[in-house]
Amino acid sequence: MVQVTLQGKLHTLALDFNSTVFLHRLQESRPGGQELLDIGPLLATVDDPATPISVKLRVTRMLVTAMLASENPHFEADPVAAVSLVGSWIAVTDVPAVMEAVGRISQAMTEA
Amino acid sequence: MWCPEVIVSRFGNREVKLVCNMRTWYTFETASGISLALVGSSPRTMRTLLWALLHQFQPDITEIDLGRLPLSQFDKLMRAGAAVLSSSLRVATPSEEASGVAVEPARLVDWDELQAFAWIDLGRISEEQFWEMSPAFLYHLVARYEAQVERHFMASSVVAAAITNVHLDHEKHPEPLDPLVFSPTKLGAKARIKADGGEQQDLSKKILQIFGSVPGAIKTHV
Repeated sequence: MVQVTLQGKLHTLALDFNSTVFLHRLQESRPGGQELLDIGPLLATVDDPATPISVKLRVTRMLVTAMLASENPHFEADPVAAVSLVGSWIAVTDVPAVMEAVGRISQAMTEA
Repeated sequence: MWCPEVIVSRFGNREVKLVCNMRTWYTFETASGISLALVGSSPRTMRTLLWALLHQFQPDITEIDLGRLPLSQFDKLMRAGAAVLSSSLRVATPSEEASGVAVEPARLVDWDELQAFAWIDLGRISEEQFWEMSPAFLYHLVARYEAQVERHFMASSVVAAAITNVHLDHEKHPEPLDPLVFSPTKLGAKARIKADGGEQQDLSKKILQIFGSVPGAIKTHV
């Protein structure tokens, strides 16, 4: 678990089974629902230096929302709205810290 | 066995018990809104199923609590859940699936109807016994009940087949009719489909056709 401050409020990012459930729900809720939203490939996309920054930001926002799913059980009810909501919590100045937090979780997962 | 096996596992620092009985089945279907036969591999459904297996002994644990477990612990608990399910649910063998026997319906259970069936047809199974019973044991009770029904109609079906076969026009029907064709049971329904060469036919139409082929019988248009 990694803590991160968004809009002055401390949040706990945790990669657990609720994150998996959230990503699956998000996949189901999207029009088409074809894009596979597995944690491993999403983390790899963020870690890959070749990934364009716009894609990195989009995937990071999705991952952060999934990592906040345990703290916010209501996210599962409307996953698409949850991603937008979390996006609104992340100020431009918070982006480096958020990216770093996701990177640390990704590293911990790789090591485990 | 009547009561299912209880498996002990760990939930964080806590020891927990998992069980799969009729109450678990009901809890799962009520919470998820889907049939136990259609669990599949959706993470959400798997979490709900695991929660249902824990619910009887640990009603304080929520689905979200369960999802908060580290992935390695969740995986261990899932394995315990799989062991509980395999000991308590009866899975149809491939030959049974092919024959259509013992294949669970992929629809939600009508719990009032099932309890009424257990009370009246299966022989006064109390509410407490019903909820504590393993689904596998219920399956065996239903199988015995169906065998009893089949036996009940067998004698009259043999007599009906004997009379009909004696009077059949053997040029049109060289093969004698199977007594099961006359049985108003599950096996009877299958025998009638088989006798029709795989085409399901209305029972009344079939019986009228049979009697239409008996010399002296009144012809009826159907």
